[in-house]
Amino acid sequence: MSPSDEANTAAAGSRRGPADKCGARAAGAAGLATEPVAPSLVELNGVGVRFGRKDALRDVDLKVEDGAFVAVIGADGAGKSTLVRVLAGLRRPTSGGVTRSVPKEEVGFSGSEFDLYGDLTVMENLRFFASVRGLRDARFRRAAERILEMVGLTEAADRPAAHLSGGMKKKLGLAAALIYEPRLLILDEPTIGVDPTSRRELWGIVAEACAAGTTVVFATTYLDEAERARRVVLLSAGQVTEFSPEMTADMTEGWRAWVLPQGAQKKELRVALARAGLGPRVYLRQEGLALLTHDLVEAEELAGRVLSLAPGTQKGRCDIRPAGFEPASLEPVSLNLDDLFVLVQTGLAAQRGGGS
Amino acid sequence: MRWRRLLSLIRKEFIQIKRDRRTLGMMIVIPFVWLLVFGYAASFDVSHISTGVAAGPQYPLAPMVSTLLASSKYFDVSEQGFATVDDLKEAIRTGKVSVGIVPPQVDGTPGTLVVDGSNLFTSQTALRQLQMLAQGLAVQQGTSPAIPFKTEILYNPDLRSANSMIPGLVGVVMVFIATIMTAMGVVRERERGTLEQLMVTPLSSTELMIGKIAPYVVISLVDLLIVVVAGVFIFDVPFAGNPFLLAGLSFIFLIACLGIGLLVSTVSQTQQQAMQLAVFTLLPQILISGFIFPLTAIPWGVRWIAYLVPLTYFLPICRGIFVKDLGMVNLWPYALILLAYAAAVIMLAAWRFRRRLV
Repeated sequence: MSPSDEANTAAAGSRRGPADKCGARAAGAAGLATEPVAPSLVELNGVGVRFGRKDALRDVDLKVEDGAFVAVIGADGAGKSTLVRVLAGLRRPTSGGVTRSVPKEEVGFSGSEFDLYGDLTVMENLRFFASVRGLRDARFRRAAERILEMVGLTEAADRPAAHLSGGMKKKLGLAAALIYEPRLLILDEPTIGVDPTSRRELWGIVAEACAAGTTVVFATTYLDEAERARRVVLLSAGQVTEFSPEMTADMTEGWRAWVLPQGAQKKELRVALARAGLGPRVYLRQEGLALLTHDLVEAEELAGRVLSLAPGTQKGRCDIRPAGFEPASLEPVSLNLDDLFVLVQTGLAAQRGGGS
Repeated sequence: MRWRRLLSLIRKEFIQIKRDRRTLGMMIVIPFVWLLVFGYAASFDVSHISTGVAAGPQYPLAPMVSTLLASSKYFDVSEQGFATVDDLKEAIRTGKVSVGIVPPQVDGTPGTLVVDGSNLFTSQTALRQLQMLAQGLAVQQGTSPAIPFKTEILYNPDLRSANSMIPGLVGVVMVFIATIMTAMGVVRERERGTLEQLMVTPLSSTELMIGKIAPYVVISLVDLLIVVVAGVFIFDVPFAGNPFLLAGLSFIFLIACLGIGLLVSTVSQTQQQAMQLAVFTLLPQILISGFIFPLTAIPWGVRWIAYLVPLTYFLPICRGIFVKDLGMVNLWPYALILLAYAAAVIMLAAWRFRRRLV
């Protein structure tokens, strides 16, 4: 099953991984940290994957070091799922090579959809995936007890997996991937379709696994989740860009972010944004209207255009706005991952200084 | 190959099959339904054919012909009187009778048998039986020399359809279960996304393949047993041969069928596609392998397809062992072809299966 160009130099030895590696990285560009050099578990060298005429991945180089906590971000269709599948050994690259130093027994994978057996109970699913990896009898019972408690499914052990809620299914997926204590855990959009409480719990489980020494790679479209990782890889048009403080500073040079705090009238702002058609660099975030511009004048101009189109604004009169809107209240903020994402995705990262 | 890993997979498959009551029921009920259909309903033994005899004044021999026909179990002579040939034809057209007989004349003008050609088996039986009656009559009347030979029918002296159909059904049931169930079982894993989870386990593609098909081998062999036992004890089909030889050669045939099922699974994205494709491979096997119609009756333009399907080679084996007590001395050419077929198909399927995995 292994591709010919894939070297399986199965590593022996105990799991390693300092717990401090799994701490959440500080938000924003300034918080992006470099990964310390460690032996890599999987290494992609010039990997390309082609589906028909479309390149899902192009010439991707990526090393996943032992103990790393890596987020792969990108828009829908950017190639995230393909990349994590290549890392997990589920997809053969069309070109390039994959070097693996972790045996299959020690790789855990959980897909974006529920990919366990709905007609088996929670315990039967765990028993099957543990037993094909050699974890049986007393060792399995101990591990199952521990993992079920960890994911909060002890009470549901005898329930058919198909009868679990979406969040519980995701937890079962994680449990099945973690029960044999893998060295490498690969997750494809682990919290998609999950409520905020379950999301928080899922990340708690992942963080715990990571603290115990498991190397984690996950794909996500949620940038707040990517910020939990110590290393972020951006996929765009099948190519990866590694985020590091230097690269981030380079990419965002000349760009500033502003927020017009406005929590109460998001509905009007959303309508106004759609009417203005200013592109992805003016968008709504938790705190209000976010703008990526080169300077305050440009930010005020763009904010004014949006506000003038908000429902309730007198036609053609930018100075008359719904109560609460005031361009002068624009606040400068640090560029975060969302902003980086927008700049890279739209190619604006290359446009520095001067006009936009 | 790690046996414990493989056993874990097989155990999981059996739990799933046990829980999927509908499919399990299908795998057990279908052989019984087919036994009923092919053992009782799909009988080519036609008797009690409703028969009209032209009995106008121009046919003085009509009463004698009617008496002669009534003495045979194959003809039920209608009491309704038909004066002419046209009356008979109208009665056949409206379905009042299945065949019509115009008696011969005293001057030697031969009689006429009028049959409904759209009712093939009835027509053929009526024709055959009437000829036999005519021969008997001729002998009785001394108008023609006695037939210089007698008929001896081997193996199935009563020419019962069941004695031919049920041994053939052994193969048909195995083709069905092995091909459809294997294809569906593998595609179900792909469709539900669970195949990816299997692929990240240390299970090799060979273990995966064997683990997926092993339960269907067991179920198909159980079905084989059901058909044979029901055939012998319910349908009174004599089992003349060696049951172990039948089991051994059935196993080779089964591997060929499982290989076809696996091949189907490698070219199907959904269970629906797998089902359609599997049925596509099943129909020619049932129709032109010799199960229903003799191979020699099929023109070469179509007959070559029969030689591409394994059932064509298995039918002589199961009928031969079941009814004629044939041994390997007689069956080795078929067994050899099946063995080569099974090896080729399973290797091709394994190659495709491995390629589809990653």
